Amino acid sequence: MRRGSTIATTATPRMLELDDVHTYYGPIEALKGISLEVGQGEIVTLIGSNGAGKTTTLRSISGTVQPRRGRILFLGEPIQSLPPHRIAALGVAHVPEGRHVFARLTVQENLEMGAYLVRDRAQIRRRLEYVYAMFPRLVERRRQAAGTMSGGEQQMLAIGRALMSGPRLLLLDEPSMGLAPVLVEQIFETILQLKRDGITILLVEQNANQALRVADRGYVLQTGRITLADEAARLLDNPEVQEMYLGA
Amino acid sequence: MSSTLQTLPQLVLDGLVVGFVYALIAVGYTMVYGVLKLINFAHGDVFMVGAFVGTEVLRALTAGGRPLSPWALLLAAVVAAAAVTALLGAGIERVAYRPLRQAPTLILLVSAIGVSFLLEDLVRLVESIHLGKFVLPVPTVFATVYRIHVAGLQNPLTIRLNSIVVVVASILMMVGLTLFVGRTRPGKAMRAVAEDRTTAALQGIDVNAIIALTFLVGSGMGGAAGALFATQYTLVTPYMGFDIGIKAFTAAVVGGIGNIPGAFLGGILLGVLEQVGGGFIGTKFQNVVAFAILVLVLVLLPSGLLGERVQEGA
Amino acid sequence: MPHLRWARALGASALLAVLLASAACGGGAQPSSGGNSSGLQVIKIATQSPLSGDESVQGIALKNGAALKLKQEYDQFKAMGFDLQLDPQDDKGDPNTGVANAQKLAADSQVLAVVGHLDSGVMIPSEAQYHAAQLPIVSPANTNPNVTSQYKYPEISRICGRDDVQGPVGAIFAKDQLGVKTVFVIDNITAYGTGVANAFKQKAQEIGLQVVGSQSIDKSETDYSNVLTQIQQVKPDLVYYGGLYQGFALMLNQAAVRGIHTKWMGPDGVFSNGLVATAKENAIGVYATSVAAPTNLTPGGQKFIQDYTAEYKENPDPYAIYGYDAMGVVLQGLKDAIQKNGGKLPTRAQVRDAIRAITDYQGALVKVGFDSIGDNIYAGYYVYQITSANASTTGDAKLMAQYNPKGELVSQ
Repeated sequence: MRRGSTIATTATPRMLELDDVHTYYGPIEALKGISLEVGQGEIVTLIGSNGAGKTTTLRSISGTVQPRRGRILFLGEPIQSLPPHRIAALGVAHVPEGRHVFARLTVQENLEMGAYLVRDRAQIRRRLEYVYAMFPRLVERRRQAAGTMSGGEQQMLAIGRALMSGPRLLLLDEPSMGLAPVLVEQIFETILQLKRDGITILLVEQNANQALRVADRGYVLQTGRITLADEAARLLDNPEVQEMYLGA
Repeated sequence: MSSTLQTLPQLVLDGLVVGFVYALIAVGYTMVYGVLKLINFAHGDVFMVGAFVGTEVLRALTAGGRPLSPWALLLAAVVAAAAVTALLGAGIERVAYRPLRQAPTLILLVSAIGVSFLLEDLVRLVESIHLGKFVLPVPTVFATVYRIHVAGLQNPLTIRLNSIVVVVASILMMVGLTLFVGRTRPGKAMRAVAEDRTTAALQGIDVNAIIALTFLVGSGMGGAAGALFATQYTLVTPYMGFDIGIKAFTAAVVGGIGNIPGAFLGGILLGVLEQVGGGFIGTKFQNVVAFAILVLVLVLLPSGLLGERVQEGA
Repeated sequence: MPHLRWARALGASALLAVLLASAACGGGAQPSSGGNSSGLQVIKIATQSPLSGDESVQGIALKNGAALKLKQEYDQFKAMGFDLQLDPQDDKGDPNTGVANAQKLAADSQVLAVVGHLDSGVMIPSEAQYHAAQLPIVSPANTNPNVTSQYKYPEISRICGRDDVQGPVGAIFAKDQLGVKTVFVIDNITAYGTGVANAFKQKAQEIGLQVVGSQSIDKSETDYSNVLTQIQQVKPDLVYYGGLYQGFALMLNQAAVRGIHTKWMGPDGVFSNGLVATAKENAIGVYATSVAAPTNLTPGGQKFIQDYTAEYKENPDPYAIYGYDAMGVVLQGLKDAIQKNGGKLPTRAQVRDAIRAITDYQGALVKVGFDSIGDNIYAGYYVYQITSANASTTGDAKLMAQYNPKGELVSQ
């Protein structure tokens, strides 16, 4: 296998760049030197088994955990030691694994929280319309406490909430987890739609098959290291990947 | 009508007044618990500081006669108490709790108890130097007393104008807080942080600033309650915050800790039940009644009267 | 290292708390040099009373009275070769603090005797410490019967009367002199307050008064509405409050707001300048039993008032003279012990025995002679009524009746 850092850049300008990122949980080294990049307008996916470090990579980017070593550049600026709310202010929106909607807030309030940093009321209104148009189910439930909704609706809300900030980079962590197949389909369609709307996406998925179908490129993580990096289509054809992650 | 039933209306009235004070303090416990999952044991003493600030303002303004109307006096005392304690609360958070954000909750609790002792002794020290004593009588604000004759009752109901003012002021503050938390951007952010600090930060919410704001608001209300309490019960001591703090905390738990309407409900309920229970069983059991209610509620409704039963999204 | 950071912050705030707390508690015992440059031997007499907190008006008065007596006799002892020093302790009216202070005093071999306490509830648990250290203590004001009757230690004596006489005297006065038929009895849940209130209640029932209600309310409570509502309902002729002045004053004030008109009575614990200072005109008309004769009626008392006012620039609280005479008794015993010991420094046991042997000490106010358990055989009982809102003179209290040590009416 080739080392991830040796290959493959994109034609588009870089939006995000990780350079030898090491992240720890206490004494445990969860990321052992991750280097990757995401180009403007791309969908890049991270695949790997449980505990490989996919979620930790997203958390390191959004500042929820701080890497102990290495650099993270967003639009060329180092962000690895910023607190999460500052990183969010730069245009990085993170939809965490398990949705994490604010269960006791209404749907509408959840969306307003997504737009917490947006001061322009007209802007907020436009984005609300955008999100409601994308997820019509949310309109009928806007006054309802988010915690009372189904898992699929909560996932829509979590994505909608992230969109409210008008992000340049969207970090999606396991958006299809625990959803019925028809909803999974819908989520991946949404992801493609977002790409068409100009949003750059870094996608973490257990469902590697689906993820590689929508992504431009992909990285394979194994126990905190990137073991493979390539075009999504070529990863789909890679026998090793097929054997380990695609259940072939 | 039996003799105890004759006293019931007066007991309920008196209970409501003290209950509203409990409610205002309980809000501070519940808000801080909401965002930090910390029982802020210093909150009773923040209330006490508010009582002293209010008392000192009243003393200063009434020192040379009474040029001001009682309304102006009360407003000055309450606003000053709220302002000082709001800053005090935020300061306590910054100095005693924020450095311990990663520490186990037990450590925070110890820190809170330390702050509690510190405030008591500090007030004692300051007042001892300032006035040579630290148990202070409180100047009367509203001297008016209404006696209302009710058919069937042997005694007129006694209502002090001061009691009415305490209740109305409490209601105004509660409505204000409810609107703030329910409708405003920082209020909603407070609820978001209470629910999920990490996810709130991902939305761009500065969690530390919101926690500081929570202390600011909760402590300010506790301090305002202190000033109101001082005008009502006419004596302040540096140790007054302990008993009342414990009761307000009980009220917060009874209502469902973390839940603001619950804290209001718990406070008012506790005040009334305590008075009625004291009247029927014996005054010395007033406090016992309070804690019996606590135990009962925790056994029957572990999450309190309005405790959250909404499932976290998963 | 985040955990180091919070550990340090915690340590720093704990240190700060300790510093401030000790600063706030300062003003207790002053360290004194053991030896003495002038070749005098140091003898320390301690006082134990609340110098802070709700009861500090009385506690400080007590200490001041004792300090005045010590100062006046200083030269006598100096002539005998002793440097007499006062070691004032703040028991805060709190049993734990009282016991801790007693242990501290027991450990200081220069302390030969103690004047204290104010609260029976502090005195009784501290007694074992004094007994173990053979350290004599003369109580100026502890009227609870158990102070002398429970353990009967030879170290414990008092110059004042007992609540099992004081309480009944109140009941007898209420019936015979005030014509009261119904009484409501309140106590503040302390050894002193509950004890005297029960003694009052028992006697009241015995002599045919009707006890129409009885409640206890914690001494730290500031809201008396609950008990006042009950009083309002049963309309007693007289309300008896077994407790101290602070709680009583608040109750009087809140009763006035309620428009409750009744007679009020309390024991010596409420009979203080502090009562009048807080209750003001609401204190007028209040009856108080006391174990002290009126200070201003005896020549010794008048001289005391003069000396006290000159020393402290304020009129003495009724408790001041108790402290003064208790110190007088201690110093008399000390003198006797020194004499018996051939002019040399006596032991605590010698001082203890000399104090208990006193049979007729004439103080500024009280005559003192101890019986076998340390009660004063000359203790009298008095009933006063507050007639003005002048706090510096305890409301110009008027003596209404006087009773002998058995509780029998002597004069009106």
